[in-house]
Amino acid sequence: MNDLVKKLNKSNKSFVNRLQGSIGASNLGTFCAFPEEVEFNGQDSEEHIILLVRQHLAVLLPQYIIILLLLVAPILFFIVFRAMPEIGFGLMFGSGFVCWLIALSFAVDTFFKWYFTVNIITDQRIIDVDFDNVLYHKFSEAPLDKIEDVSHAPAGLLSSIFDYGDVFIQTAGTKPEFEFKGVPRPRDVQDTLLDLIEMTEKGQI
Amino acid sequence: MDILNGLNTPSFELFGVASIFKLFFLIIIFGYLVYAILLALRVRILNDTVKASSNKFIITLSFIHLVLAIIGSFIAVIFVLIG
Repeated sequence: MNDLVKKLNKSNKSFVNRLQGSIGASNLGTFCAFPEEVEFNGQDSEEHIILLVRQHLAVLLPQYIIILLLLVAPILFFIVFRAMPEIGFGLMFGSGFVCWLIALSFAVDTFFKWYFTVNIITDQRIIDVDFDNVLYHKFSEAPLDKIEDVSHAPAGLLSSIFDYGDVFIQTAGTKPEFEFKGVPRPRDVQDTLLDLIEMTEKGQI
Repeated sequence: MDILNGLNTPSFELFGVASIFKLFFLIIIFGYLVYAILLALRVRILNDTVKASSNKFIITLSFIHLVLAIIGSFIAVIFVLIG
């Protein structure tokens, strides 16, 4: 991987400097440049991952609120059920316990969705894995030479505070537009992609 | 004769408030358990899609979650049925 970084450094492209600070970041993070020990299905032997991005943790704010509500919901059950003489202690405690179980599962589910919804930029293509729900996930990819346009936009008020946004990638393929939603440092993602496309066109990679 | 006397007296015991809540929570627990199993299966599939060193942690977490879901559901069912 170091050879790749050196090779890209020689190209004098701005994205290499921008990514320098994120080299060696844990692959459990949101923005990992040149991640080691990461592979994806269908990766070629000469293909290298340049950037791996996931949603910024601030994007998950609604999920945090839901988990919090589920954790305090048993108090509400307790208040309501106490007013009902037909409801015994077992049902009262059982309903609260169910709420805590759902809160736990919702937290784990949110983490898995965040972890597996991953966007990868390699020196040959882009990959977009979307894990929407337990019954459905999507794996899309497009070669760099099929990318026509890259743009980014902030995604709401929190994005200004935490510096994240959506990156839109227009391609000539069957899937016209890729979206990297709520990714940190969208400018750097865009710059990386545009520089890699330019290098691909010039045959430098 | 006592049995015949009670013929026209409707009994709401079976469909009392507690029974409705019990049924409601049992359905929720069943759905929850199905969801936990589906989540574990989906994680296993996605684990092969993107392989990373941290995937071992994810698999372990998925397994622990499934075990907790099964044990938790069993305990919850007992509490709800005791009602």
